[in-house]
Amino acid sequence: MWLDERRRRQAQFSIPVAGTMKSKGFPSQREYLPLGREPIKLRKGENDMGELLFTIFYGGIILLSGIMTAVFIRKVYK
Amino acid sequence: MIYTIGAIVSFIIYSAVGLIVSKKVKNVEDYYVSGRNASTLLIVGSLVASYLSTVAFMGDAAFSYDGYALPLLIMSIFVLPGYIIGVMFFGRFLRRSKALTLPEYFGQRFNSSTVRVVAAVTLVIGITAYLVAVTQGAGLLFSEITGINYTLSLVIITLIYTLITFSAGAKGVLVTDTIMFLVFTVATFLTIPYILKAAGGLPEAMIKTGQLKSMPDMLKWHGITGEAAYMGSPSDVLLWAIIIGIVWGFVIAVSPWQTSRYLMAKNEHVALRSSIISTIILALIYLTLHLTMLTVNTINPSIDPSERVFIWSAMNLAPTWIGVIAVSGILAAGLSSSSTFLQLIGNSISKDLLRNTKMSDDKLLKISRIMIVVVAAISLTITLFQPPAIFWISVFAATLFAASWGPVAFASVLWKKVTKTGALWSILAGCVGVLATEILKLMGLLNLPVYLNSAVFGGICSFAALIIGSLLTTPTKEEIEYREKLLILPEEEKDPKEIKQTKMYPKLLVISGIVIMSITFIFYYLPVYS
Repeated sequence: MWLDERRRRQAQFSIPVAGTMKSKGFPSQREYLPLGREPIKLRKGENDMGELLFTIFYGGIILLSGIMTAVFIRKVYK
Repeated sequence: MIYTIGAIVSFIIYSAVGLIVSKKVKNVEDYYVSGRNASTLLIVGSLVASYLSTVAFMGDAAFSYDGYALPLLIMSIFVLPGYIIGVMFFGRFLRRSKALTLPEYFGQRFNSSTVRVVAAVTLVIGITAYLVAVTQGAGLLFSEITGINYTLSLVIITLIYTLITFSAGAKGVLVTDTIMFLVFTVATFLTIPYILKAAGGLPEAMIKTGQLKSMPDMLKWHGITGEAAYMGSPSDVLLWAIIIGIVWGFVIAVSPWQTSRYLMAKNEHVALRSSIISTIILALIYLTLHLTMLTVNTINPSIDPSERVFIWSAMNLAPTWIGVIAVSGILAAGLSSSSTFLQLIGNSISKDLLRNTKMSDDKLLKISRIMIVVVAAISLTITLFQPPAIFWISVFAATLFAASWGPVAFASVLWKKVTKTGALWSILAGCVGVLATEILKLMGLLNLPVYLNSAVFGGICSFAALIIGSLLTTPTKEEIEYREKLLILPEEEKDPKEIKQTKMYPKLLVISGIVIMSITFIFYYLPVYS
């Protein structure tokens, strides 16, 4: 019910909607608007390099931050 | 009904805590910066609570449920270092300034009341719009849970966070933020195992998710493919994740609702430690929450609106008592951001825009409290009537700070040639760059893919204006001396005990990085690709 009301208001203002693409008007910090491009096509035989890189980098960035912070603290607070 | 009772009980607790803490507010420093003696726990609580609002548990959760958890997590890779970089190159120097507000810092650093006023105006406009958006989110959620009408929900939500902020200022906001942070963090980690269990347990939940024919490739790094996909080609998705991630990294590093917490820290060590712990907590919440939201598709693929996915899961897949904590936790996430925003706006109006050096501390405290109520009333009115301009600004209010404040904030510490002219032009150019891009988009004169965020254009304008403005002028003696003073490590920060303790924290980051990498490898990569 409230979503219908929100949709109606947004249509009235003709303003880009904050929130996710499917947010139907829920206010958001970020814009997740459609790129307006062709949908991703299913690609046969795609390797898993992207997923492996994600696996490494998600934790890796925390690890790297740790090394960087350690060096920084040693240098600044001798 | 039980959820309504849970929400109301939590509201009563937060209000009571605010009133109790208010008795400890003795002066302006207590009200504005919590007496500058906050512990690591309080700063972590407030940093995370003011960053995560209802959006994280609703908007972001929906994005994951819709098939884009991996792009969101790739984006986080670029967001998370914002805490560390922000505190190293801006936050700890901000704390050294002993300012009460961020615009006051900019004013002191550049010895310019104009810079201070312009910074304060951008803060008031940007955060008011953001406050409106977050209040609406919490109001909608409360209305849906309790069944009471939307208007009354907004009034109740506004009253709660106004009461906390009005009575206890920064002290109350820090304590309630921390309680709220604990509530939603506990709720998240209590709910996730039940959702995964309902989806078949690990690793089956991930395997089933990866094999869902209705949403193919959901576990691929670029998110779902096929007809339902709306994020464009894989390279578009990657560009989106990197650019929006960097923009949000800047938001974490320089936005008022994050960096103002460092003004409240007991010392620089607390600021550094807090940023490290916040990085770890956000990384863990994001990884576990968003991968879990993907698996809900195997249990119920038709939750509509998808923003309800975490709430639906907590209410239907977890025991009732956990559901109550989860729903109260999401409301808490909204309330904590709102109270921080209200405090920042009220303080900036009182201290930076209505400032009067002859004003006594007691009078300033009184005026600050009055302004909190006035701002809350204005915000509520805007929220109820939702003028298009404000609603429009709220779409990009957060990233506005990345563009207009980012270059100035870092340059104020790192670049000796920066001048007040450069700073002023930079803040204004950043704002104009973002607003102009958004206006052109609104008028249909500019059609950009989403990864070219308006903050990117604003940031480029701001950076260029900073360089040109500073190179055309010369820093004054006062500016040079103030910066040199900022760069001197205060004696109280040289305490060997504190330094020894601070040196332990990077090890925590390294260990967490290895643990997170192992979790991702074992529970995400191996089940799907081995």
